[in-house]
Amino acid sequence: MKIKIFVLTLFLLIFITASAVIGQDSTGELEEIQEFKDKLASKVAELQQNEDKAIAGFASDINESSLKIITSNNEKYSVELDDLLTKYFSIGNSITEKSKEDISEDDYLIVTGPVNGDIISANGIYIDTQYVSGSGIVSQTDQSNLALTIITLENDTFTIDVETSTKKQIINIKELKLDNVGFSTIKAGDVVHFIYKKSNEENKNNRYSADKILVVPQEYFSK
Amino acid sequence: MKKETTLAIVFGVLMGLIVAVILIFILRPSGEDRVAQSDSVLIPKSGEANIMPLDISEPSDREISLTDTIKITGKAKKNSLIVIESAISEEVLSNKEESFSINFPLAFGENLITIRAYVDKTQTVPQIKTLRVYYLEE
Repeated sequence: MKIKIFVLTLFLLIFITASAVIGQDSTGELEEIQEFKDKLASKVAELQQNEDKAIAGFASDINESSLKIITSNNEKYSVELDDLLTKYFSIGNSITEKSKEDISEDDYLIVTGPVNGDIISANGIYIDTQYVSGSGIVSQTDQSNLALTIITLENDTFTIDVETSTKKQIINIKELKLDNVGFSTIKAGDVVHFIYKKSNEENKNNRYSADKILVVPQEYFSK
Repeated sequence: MKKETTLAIVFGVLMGLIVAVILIFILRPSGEDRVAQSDSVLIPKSGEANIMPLDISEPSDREISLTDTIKITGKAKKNSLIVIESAISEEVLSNKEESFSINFPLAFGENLITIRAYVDKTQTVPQIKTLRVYYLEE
């Protein structure tokens, strides 16, 4: 990629220099040169966009010129850092520019740039939050602790804590729209979709605090 | 031993050998036949195989978007209940035709988008597709 940009830029410089030396300074020719420059710049931008990929994972082995990330599918990538080219950002309520020193082990990173096998030449690194989604059937509701026990399709058991901040919605099966719902409305037998933030720390109890839940009432299935 | 007895024994042994040869080499199925039979038993013959699978044609997984909205296009069995969710948004629809399409908002950064299709009201297990789309304004 860098070689392509270099070659194209070199070609452009030679072309402009040659034009200047030959002394072709008529307006028409200058316009042609400008048009050619624009096309070239557009092509370079297009090539860069096409070749850039985004890979996300948790950071490890951070050093001066590289780091590693492990994706949610357990794929491992080596990330090459460049002092001049690589830009660092943090994504929160707004995006803020950061430096390499702001990256810590176990941060969830989105790395953008050309990918060659398991090596990414990082153009941009974004510190972000990883979300996980799941779904299953409610087997128990704990009214006192506001927690749902959910059996997933894979037969795993999750305990989902429903906080006051958790967005809770139910599908209105007559009108096919979403309504807000209270915890007490959720019953054993309902299907629940849930989303929670994941940290890289091991969670052996499968207990998570939900950011949002969406209930498909069991009445939908018994019609 | 009488001659008749000896003949009867020899005849009996010969008949036994002939029956054994017929059983082993003629009536017993060949190895290929047995593999074919075994395969035919292993192939599931469930009606589920005929159900159209949920297919998402766009966006692709790990796609980078430069805008804060993407178009989600796919196909599912007609009249499925389709639920599309991310951390910031959710949509519910029922597809009158197999194809469906919807604009979906993106948050800056990684967007985990889960698309579930309930194709049958007697079946609480949905078909699921999960995509990660990156909205990274440059």
